[in-house]
Amino acid sequence: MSQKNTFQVVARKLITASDKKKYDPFNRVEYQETLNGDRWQFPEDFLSLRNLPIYGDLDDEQKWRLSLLEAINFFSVNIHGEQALVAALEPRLYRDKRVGEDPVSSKYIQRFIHEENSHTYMLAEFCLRYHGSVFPDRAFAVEQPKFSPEVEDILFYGRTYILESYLGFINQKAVKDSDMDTSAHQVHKYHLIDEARHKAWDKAMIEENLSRAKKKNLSSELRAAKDLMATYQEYIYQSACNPAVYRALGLENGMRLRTEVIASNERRDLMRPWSEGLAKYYADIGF
Amino acid sequence: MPANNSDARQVLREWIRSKAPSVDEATFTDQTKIIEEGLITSVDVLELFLLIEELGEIEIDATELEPDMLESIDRICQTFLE
Ligand SMILES: [Fe+2]
Ligand SMILES: [Fe+2]
Repeated sequence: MSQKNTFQVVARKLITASDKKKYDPFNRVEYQETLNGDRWQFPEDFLSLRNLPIYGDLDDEQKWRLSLLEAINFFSVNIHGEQALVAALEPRLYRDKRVGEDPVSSKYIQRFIHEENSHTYMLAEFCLRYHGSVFPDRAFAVEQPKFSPEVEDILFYGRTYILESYLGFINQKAVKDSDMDTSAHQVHKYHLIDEARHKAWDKAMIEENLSRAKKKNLSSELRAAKDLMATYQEYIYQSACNPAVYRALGLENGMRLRTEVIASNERRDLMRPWSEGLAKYYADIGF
Repeated sequence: MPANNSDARQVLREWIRSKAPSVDEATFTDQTKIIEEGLITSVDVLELFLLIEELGEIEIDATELEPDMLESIDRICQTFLE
């Protein structure tokens, strides 16, 4: 099988899998009238302050509010990441200039866009109903290097894979957590199901572009792209610690708390399956 | 209460020094181009937003920013804190 067929075969499989999962994109989650005060809105183990001494000082009501605010923060990072993803996928349709722009791949990307659009709707609905707003976007690229098309797409799908692996990791933990409240649990569950397909597409695109980039000897560009991916991974990691959340809880020194969380070994250990999974993937494909 | 401008400038200077301990104090001013000269990296930008939000008691939406708004302490103060 030629390289060209490999990702097109993946695209066909993903189209079939995607079409089997038909759902009403705007009425998938049953949103509760009111949230349960004795159920978590975000998995307790993943609350950013969980491993700091201050967590022991919070009363039950504050811990519950922390779980709601961290759910809003996590969902907001999801929303902004996926909005940017939709915007970048759109111009990749049917051009047939680069990898994954042929008709078959484009048909899959249309489903990908459709699913991401339904996700941001589902996530934003949760934020709006239970918090009144979505947190602002904090992603900001200071470096915009010009790469060859193959490396540009490795960077794009690489960042997407980092984001989707992160979402998948947290979604999975939330789905397994029997103390989660109903609506939040549903949001994580539905998101988890769809993201498995998206990650398969990200990988197919990364691998095809990587093999082409290697044939063209683009190793210095590849190194630069990998550095930018590492920066994005750190951004995603740090995005879970938001001082606005701590301020909303009435805690002082939000920035100091954030620094403590980021420096905490317990937090790094907690997230290690995600970061190690990424490192293992890069090693497996020779990136 | 938002920090007053000279306090905010002091906090920003200290923060930049913490990110770039080897900064040349002789040439480091409020006009120094902090990203261009590599004093802070893109990993630090999120923290910079959050710090400005805390200093100004404002909320920053990155989608509304232009890169030059973060160019120097002067530009940050003009854009967000004055
Ligand atoms: Fe999604
Ligand atoms: Fe996705």
